[in-house]
Amino acid sequence: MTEYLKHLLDPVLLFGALGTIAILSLVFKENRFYRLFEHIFLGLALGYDLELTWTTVLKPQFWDAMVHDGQWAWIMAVPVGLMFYGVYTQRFAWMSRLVFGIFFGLAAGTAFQDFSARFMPQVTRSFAPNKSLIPPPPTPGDPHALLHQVSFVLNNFLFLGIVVCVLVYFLFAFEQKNRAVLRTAQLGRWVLMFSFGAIFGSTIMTRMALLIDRMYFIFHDWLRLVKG
Amino acid sequence: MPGHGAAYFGKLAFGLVVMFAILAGLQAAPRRSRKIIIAFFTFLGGLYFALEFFYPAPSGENFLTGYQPLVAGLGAVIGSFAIGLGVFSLVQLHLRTLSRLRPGWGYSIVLLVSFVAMTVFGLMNEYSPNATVIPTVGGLWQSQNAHGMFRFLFSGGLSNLGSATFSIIAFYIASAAYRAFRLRSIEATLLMAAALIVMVGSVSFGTALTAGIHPKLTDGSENPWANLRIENIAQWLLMEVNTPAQRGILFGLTLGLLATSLRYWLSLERGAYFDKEL
Amino acid sequence: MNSTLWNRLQTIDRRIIYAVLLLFIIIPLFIDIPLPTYPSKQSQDFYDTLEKVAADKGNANKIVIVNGMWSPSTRGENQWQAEALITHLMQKHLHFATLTFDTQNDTVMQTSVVEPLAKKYGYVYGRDYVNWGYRPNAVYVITIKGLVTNIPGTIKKDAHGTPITSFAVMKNVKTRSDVAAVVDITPVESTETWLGLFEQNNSPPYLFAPTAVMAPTYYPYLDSGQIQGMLTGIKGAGDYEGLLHTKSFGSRIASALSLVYALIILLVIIGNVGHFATRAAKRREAS
Repeated sequence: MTEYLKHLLDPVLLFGALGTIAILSLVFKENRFYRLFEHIFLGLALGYDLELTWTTVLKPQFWDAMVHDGQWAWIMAVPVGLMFYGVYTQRFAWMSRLVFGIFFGLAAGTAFQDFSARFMPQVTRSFAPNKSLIPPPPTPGDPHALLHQVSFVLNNFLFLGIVVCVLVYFLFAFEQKNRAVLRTAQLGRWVLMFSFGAIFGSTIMTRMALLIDRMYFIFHDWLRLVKG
Repeated sequence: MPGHGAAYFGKLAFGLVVMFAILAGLQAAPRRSRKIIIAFFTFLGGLYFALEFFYPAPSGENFLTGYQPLVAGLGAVIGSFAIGLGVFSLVQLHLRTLSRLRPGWGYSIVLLVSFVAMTVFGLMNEYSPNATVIPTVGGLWQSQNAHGMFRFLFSGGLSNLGSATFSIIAFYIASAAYRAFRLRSIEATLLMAAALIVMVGSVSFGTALTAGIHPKLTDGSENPWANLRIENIAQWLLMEVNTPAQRGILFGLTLGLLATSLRYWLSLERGAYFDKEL
Repeated sequence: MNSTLWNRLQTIDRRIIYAVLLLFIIIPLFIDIPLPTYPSKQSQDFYDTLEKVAADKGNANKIVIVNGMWSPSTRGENQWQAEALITHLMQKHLHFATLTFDTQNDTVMQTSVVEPLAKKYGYVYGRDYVNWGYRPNAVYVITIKGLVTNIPGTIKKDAHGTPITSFAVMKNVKTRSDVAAVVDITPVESTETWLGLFEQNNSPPYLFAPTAVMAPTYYPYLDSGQIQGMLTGIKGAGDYEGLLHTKSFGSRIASALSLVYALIILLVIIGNVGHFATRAAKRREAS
């Protein structure tokens, strides 16, 4: 067996390559080869989640703490954890709601801090000096000082104008008769479209990068036809 | 249990009994009070972090701050018990398909075998990675240890299949760009213009188009025309047009999030899930 | 030309588009077309921020938290951002801890990124870096919040069950003030929690490596200084590799990405030419 053939038949690479080809074949036609690997994928993902939850959370934080470290009170987490499974019975279904509720509550309770720490800077920064409509004094020796000052004012005017337009668009989402509001909201809508366009352009990058990665795997890692 | 006597078992049993007794008590409560019980515990969960934030903490910490690791630890352990929900549902579904030999039962076998194999070899990889799991068979194949099997399943299978599954969307995006991107209105035109500028401005063929405009003038000063380089136009659009638009959205979203959080916390949320009979 | 031909331009079989797309991706893998690349301001800021963190002697005993929310499904972007980041951290001898709330991230991050690079740069587990491991997504918020005042108490054990206080790298790491920077490599909305519950007056520096699709949404945080640098998807990874003078996937696929973009633009033009020509032809026929 040549070195190259041995490499091509390396189980890890071969599994990955066949699986990749099978999954991608779906775009041309739904087929058995695809279905086979789709089920392998689901089975592996499920098994991995289970294994990882045990090895990285339950075993070190719960089992070992209870069995080896003498923290017997951890046993009390078991009945609480079992409450999730109430969902499978009519009688105890409400218990699963109870435990989910605690998690909802915990997350909701952090909303105030999140509001103040994450969101408030967004408000204050919209009115910060670098968003002012009065330009800063020119930097000495700057040959384009006027250009910089004009662009500072125009950019900030545009920035604040767009924030207002978008807010008007959202705040007056219900039917409006006032022309000024309608026009402003319309501008807000256009700017939003522009912003969504930027997101769409970036989406293409993400999706293509993922496909290029797969092709790189096939032609570089597996077939070794492409140089690194 | 190693290092622990019967007394320790007693404590464990005591813990279990106490918790089950509490749960039995809750179960025995009148049906109409269940919503109140859920609302109470939801409120209690939220109260901890809300109080921890609002209660004065001159030194940066108050009497509740110290319990955060305990809450995180408890949450991680209890939340982990939920893993069985997904496992149970999927395994049950495929066992049923298999037992009734419904069409596609072969795939159910594949799924179950993959599931068991990953669980077993994953655990072995953690606790006894060098254990031989496949012996050498003549010249056909060499022996394989648990770590090798896990690598085969994870790096060969799971990882590549996951990447492949999500890469399919690239084809649909290309097809959608061709089919759906029509200049039918101002909105559609703006959307497309932004998409194209951002795309062209972020890849090398785009930047090559305007690479002739030098960032510096011959005297070493900044070239104002360099603002017209495609990557600079894209950057300007992202910073000066996209940013305020996104900030506007963010204002709306955050206020909505705060309101929704309050509704969850105080159990005021309505809808199919929340209004269900208990 | 008649309307049927214009019509045909609008109705190219999807399988032909798929095949052409594959060709446009595969061919540039074989032929590397040298095209100029310039790091974006956000990538440059990302790099500069970590350079500054490394230059500050007060950070010698601190740790950089690398939060990985990605799995193999977005490895095409996130893995290469992670690789460039870990390379930078190791080149600059910064201590770091990896943490994840995605089940598949831990193994792929350790085996494909951290371990090979640790070998290359002589990084020793426990001395130079540590793996805090995986936590369920349900406790993402409360775990991040716990890290603010008590890191050892919140993390307790590493990914293999060893108490984290037993590692030399964790000796001086107790609270948020012992964190030199946070880097979030993510295809999901995880930033909000770090900014809302962990950061205090933009400290420690928060750096963001999202998939490209997420990037435009986070510009308000760049503007406010809450995010101090951003790697936009694979373009950001390529920029970062360029700044580090390493060549990996991000730089290698730049020409493929260019060609694919050209194809998409071509497809949009063809579709629109077909659309408008058909419409014009129909109008002519009607009149």
